[in-house]
Amino acid sequence: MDLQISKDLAKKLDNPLLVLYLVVALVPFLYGLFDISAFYLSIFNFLIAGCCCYFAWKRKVFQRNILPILFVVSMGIFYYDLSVVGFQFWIYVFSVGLIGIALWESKIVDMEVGFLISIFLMSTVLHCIPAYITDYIEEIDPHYHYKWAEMIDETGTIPEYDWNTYPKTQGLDRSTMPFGTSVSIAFYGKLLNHFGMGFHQSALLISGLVAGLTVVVVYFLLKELFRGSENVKYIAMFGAVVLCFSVAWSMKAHATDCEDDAIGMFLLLSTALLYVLAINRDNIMISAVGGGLLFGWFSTVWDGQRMLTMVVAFFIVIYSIFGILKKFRTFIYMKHYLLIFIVGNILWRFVLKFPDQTFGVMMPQGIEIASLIIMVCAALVNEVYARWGFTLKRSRFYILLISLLVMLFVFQDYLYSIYEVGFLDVGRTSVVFKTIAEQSPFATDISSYVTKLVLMFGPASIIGLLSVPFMLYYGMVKRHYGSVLLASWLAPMAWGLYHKTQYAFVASVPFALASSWFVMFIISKRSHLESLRIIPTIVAVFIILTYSPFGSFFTAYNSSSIFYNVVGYDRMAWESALQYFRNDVPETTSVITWWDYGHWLTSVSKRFVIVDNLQRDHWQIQDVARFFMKETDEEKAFDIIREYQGYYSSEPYVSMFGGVNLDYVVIDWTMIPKSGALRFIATGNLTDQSDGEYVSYSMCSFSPQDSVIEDVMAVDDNGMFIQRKVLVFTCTYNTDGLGAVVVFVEGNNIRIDAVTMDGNRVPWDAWMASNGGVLFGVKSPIEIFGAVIQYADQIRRIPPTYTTLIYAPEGFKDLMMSRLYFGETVSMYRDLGLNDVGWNETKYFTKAKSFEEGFVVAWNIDHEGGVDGSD
Amino acid sequence: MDPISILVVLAVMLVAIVIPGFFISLLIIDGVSPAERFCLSLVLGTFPVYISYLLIKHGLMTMNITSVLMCMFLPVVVFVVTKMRFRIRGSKVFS
Repeated sequence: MDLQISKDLAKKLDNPLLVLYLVVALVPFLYGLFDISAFYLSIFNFLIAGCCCYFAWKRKVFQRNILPILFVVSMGIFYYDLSVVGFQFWIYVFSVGLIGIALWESKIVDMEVGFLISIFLMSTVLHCIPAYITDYIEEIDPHYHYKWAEMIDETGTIPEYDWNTYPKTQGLDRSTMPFGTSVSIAFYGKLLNHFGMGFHQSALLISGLVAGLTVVVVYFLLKELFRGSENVKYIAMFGAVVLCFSVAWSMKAHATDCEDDAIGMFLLLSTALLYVLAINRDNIMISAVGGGLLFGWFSTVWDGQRMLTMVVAFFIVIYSIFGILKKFRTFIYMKHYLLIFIVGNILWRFVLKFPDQTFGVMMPQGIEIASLIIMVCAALVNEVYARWGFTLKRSRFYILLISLLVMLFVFQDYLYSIYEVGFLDVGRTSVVFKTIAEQSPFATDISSYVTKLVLMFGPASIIGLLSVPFMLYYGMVKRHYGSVLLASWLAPMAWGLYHKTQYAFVASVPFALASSWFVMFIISKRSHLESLRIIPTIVAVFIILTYSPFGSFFTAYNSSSIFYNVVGYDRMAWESALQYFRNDVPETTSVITWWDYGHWLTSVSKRFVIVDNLQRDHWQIQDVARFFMKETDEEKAFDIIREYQGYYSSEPYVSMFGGVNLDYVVIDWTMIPKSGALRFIATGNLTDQSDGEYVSYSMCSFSPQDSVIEDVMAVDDNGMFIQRKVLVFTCTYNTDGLGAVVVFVEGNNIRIDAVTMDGNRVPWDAWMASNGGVLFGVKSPIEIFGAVIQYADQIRRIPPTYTTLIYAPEGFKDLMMSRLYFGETVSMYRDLGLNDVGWNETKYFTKAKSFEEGFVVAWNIDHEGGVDGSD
Repeated sequence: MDPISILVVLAVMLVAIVIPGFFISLLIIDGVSPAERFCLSLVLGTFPVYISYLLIKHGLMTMNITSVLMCMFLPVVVFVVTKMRFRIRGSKVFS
């Protein structure tokens, strides 16, 4: 039977350019089979590009082929120098992008479909590369959702309670926790079981796929927001491209990060799309059913629904005021969002609250209800003016004013929420949160704000920000609600970002969307070539180039960094420790360690911890911080252990688990640089949130470029010739002013000097006597000196425990962190005169196991105090 | 993960999203272009996860392959039943 192909399609397929482009697109996926040098592939691509130029010129379609030829040439450049960061991965991104472009060039699909195929595939591949690089779930917070996904996968039920953390408050009630992300991971994981995979692969890739889906949604959202505009497709394409290559957005929207942010943002944008569709078609089926379904589902995944409601409220208020001034109605905007809001709020309550509470607890949290009140009031005021003909008569004005004041008084608590969230909380933080990088301000002034915006969001973000007043003006004059909505979204996000780095991801989307506004004014016809529209056209082309892989060659923005959103060394170094606790330690064991590792221990090892990265109870966090970084007496430090063992030895832990045993202390190398944060929390006041002391250990790392490894002739104090090596360890900032430690290895003798920040050299014993600070190490001094001498030229390849001395200021030398982490080697440092501490072994703690050359160390807790330690 | 596994996972998840999403979008809106229909399928396609979340939360089922497939194809069943019962006329899949 012959395959029936229409003549039209057959003619389109009979296109040498299509064949060439598809061959180029397939080559990256096949060349590994043939062991071909990348250099020859580079030449191959340039030759193909030449052929394409010839065929395009012959067929008189050269203009249509500029973009695909540029893709082919770019891939040739990537092959030419694979050592450039990211080029080895850009080959794959561009190859899948070429598919859609080739189909468009051949007129098999129209421009919109071709673009969507390309941008979807490019975004998906771009954001899935981290899963190709590693099988580890990324860092810390994703493990929380991973933990619950595994539990749902294993038990088939939704967890109601977390017993594994915060024993002082007997765990955490999770019955109202939005587990949508974890359920999604388990849901798709069940389908993958039939392909030999499961929830782990689902967790690895779900955010990467969502990244691809999101750019498609963004395209249509922009298309609807700018419906009727001359350049609507270009506006939508521009916004989708900017988001696709946004470094800030990729912080969460990438494979191996199975947190709720990427999925939540996708559902937020989807809800926004249905809202805008409902407005443009004035169709309550879309808003009430579609939007309501999505809003309800979205609220069980992420708490971004409050942000969406707040943004829509701002939009409706501003647009309603414009409506009063310019005499148009805004009721439709409030009507559709109200339908979405009501239906959605009912739906999510069926999941997060039981039905008997559905109508009793119909009040969303403060900021949501406040936003709702404001948008309803604004739309009603606009409607009143519409019915009365938009004339400002004094009597009507006073009636409205009194009505508004009454409403303000009745709902003052809810309205205060907006002020609290937008102006108080955004700049205020607790003792605990002050130690978290993402809770700190993004910038300290306008200049640093602009610089960091360009680095993380790209230059398009500046265009978007500058466009806000113009968007508002245009929205008022041209009655263009899309412009006002985008401005209402971007302005509060930009404000929030300035005060808190945590908002970087949520701000990345409005920055990308708003940056496309000016594309309305670019060239779309030949007649515009000589007009002022040439300027925004040039700007648009420049921005696209900046976001490309070549942008880093002429700007500070580097989109290649998207590929490297992968797990850090810390997590990988913990793997052996996590498996030890999972396999070799009883199930009812609890571990006291810093919150950063809580999710890992509960999700991978499935053991109990005191605190985790939820930071849910600051008092328990402070207890852990006090144990490590405040108590200098072992008995007082052990009182904390006794207290928490008491919680574990009482109900409900006894009846549920037969009791839990707080049997291990774990310290990780990165707790040394984090020691300032632990000290800050340990010495802070959680009642009035006054600051603690911000002092930390200092890490003195070997500096090969400042050291002399080969023996040199020197003269000693007695005038004798000696062979000398000089090892320099440069120190991180410390309040004592120690800049470096210099170790002179002279035959069998070792002599050590301290170097101040001013460059003055002082013998170590004199430094110790005057400042009280001492030196420790996880490894012995001889091991460290030997390692740095032997491996000086490849110092980055050896574990940091072999290349770093730890400087402890006077108040730190007797802390439990010092006694535990440096206890094994303390006598060796004392023998060399590097410290003068009086303690040796601890009474209640014995070293259980060391992992990754001391990067992670675990100690057994002996509750009876069997080891007779001495101070 | 190797590229083939990545491809399989993405394909399975995409199909599991598009199939229910397509039928949910047919129930809610008509008169859209094929590209818009695909977008709406993506937008609405994860809703079956909410259905499974709801049913599991209230103890009506547990998470297993049968319940997952049931939730995934529920929109298809609803669409077919709706179309048969109300004999929707004039509704277009594509504009």
